Amino acid sequence: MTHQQWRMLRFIVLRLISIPIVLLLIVIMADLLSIFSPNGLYDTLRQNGPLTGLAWMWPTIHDSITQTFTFHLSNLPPSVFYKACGITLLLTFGSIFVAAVLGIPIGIFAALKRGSWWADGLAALCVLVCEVPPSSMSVILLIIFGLAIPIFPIMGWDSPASAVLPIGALACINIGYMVKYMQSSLTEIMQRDFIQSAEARGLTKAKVVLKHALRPSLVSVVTFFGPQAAMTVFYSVAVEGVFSIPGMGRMLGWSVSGIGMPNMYGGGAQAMAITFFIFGLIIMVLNLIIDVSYRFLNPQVK
Amino acid sequence: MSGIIAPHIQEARAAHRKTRRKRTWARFRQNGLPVIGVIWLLIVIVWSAIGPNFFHQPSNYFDMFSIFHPPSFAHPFGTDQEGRDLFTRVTEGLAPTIEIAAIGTVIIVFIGLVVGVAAGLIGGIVDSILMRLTEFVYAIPTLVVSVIIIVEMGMSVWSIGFALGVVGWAGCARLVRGLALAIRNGEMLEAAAVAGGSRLYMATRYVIPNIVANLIVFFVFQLGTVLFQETILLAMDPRYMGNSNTLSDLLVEGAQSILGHRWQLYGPLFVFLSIMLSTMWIGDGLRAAFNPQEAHASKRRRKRIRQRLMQQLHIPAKETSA
Repeated sequence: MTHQQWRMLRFIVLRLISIPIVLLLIVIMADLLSIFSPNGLYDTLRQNGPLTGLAWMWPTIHDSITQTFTFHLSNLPPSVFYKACGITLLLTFGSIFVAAVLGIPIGIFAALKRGSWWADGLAALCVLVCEVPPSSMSVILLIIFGLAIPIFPIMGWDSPASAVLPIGALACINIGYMVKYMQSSLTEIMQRDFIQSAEARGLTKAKVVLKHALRPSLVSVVTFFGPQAAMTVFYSVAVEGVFSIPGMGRMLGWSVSGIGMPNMYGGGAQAMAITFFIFGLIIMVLNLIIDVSYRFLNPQVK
Repeated sequence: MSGIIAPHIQEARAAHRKTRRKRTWARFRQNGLPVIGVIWLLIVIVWSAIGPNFFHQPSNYFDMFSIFHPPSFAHPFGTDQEGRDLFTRVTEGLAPTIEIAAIGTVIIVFIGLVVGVAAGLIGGIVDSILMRLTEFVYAIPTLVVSVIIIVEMGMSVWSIGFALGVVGWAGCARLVRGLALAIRNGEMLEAAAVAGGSRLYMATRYVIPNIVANLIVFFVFQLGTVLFQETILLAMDPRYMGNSNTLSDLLVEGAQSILGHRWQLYGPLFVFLSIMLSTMWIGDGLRAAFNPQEAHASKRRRKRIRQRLMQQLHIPAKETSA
């Protein structure tokens, strides 16, 4: 192994060690939030006096403690839970994949043909589409492709076709960002010296773009990928609501009731801890993957 | 003083400043879209301030006889299920919408600036602790936490702005830390340290002035992001809408009743999209204006530069003109 690879390995191992620590903090925070939320443990104790309250609440507290530390999904059958988790992950990553497949070529195109009105127009259209909130976007798609031209099912989750509209609605948010970041970074890189020298050597335009300019310009797209993937998970919740898909957002309620108590199927505190845990895990693993690929794309990173 | 001694230097400087200002303006202007964005945003802000005075009935005026009227001259955006004029509602909702975005963004930028500068400037163990903290904030499901904060604090402009700001600063902290690190490793701070400057002095006199341009750009882009997140927040649980007339409320309401009464979505969506696009264009323009390396060169000028390079390298221009 070379020195470089050793350092990469060390970096990955250190990050892997820090993941459980941060996850523990996240679960603790979720439990604290549920304890101090209205009508939670804290309120009950305050209203009934500490001793009576404790005696009265003891079975609940005991349950809550054991369930927090053994982490079993109290009222939630695990198979249903895994299914919901799978649906949300499919929506999120499917939409990011679709957005990348469509957005990166459009971005390259818009960067190379800058100044021609239809390349600019295409990029502007993508940006316009990404500014529509996903809750409105999914309704618009539903009207167009579910009712006006009835080719896709408008709700539920029974066939692969029912994944098309939600993934489309989610992809719309990411596609504009992909186009924008790709366009701006590629435009900037195409003016660097090494591109001009490659051009002066007589390489074809396609070769210059694909072999020399693409890799450095992907850095900014990958950097933005992390926060955007995290946000897409939340956007998928809004979209699941519109299409009535039994995903994670539906499953865990994902809302707080009028009195401020977490309103979740799995019974308050546990469900919230589980949600926080799963989402924290997804986001941190994604972050790790992004940092590793960032180093791969840009060897200068220390 | 120097003007008396050497007036021609002063004049040359003034001329230079003028050309620089002109070039900055040219970079900002680009193809005209940022200017349109500024004008439109100004119109929206002024309208949000003076607009509510122009209507003879308030936005919560229920009119049973004009339920679900499509857009007409009397009701430019149509009316909703209680006969309220949507244009009035949008006008009254503009001010809280803009306030929420501004409050959230100010909080995000402030916390991100403090954490990022501290992490980048001090380094070492403080850096790693602060960065793990940032990662922690980044990994918690932000919108769930902000829903809980809003419930705790009650529904108001301040609480929504605070809730969105207090969970969203991780991205800003990362950005600022990167910039501060780049400055710390430069020669400028070495000089400041040799001169005996304290950390606070270095941060306020050297680091922050050097990253303020990036921060302004970030601020403008973040305004749009906060607005966007607010719509998601309200879409997740429409029970929080109340009847607060903010654009996010109107969008969620419009999406719910879009079957049959489509204008309920169109008016608010148009205003929302135009505000988002204006902030985006302004951000683009500002980024170009603050970054002299960004090419403001026209296509013709770029071609001339390339031709000159090729002449220097003794390459016939025809081969590579693709």
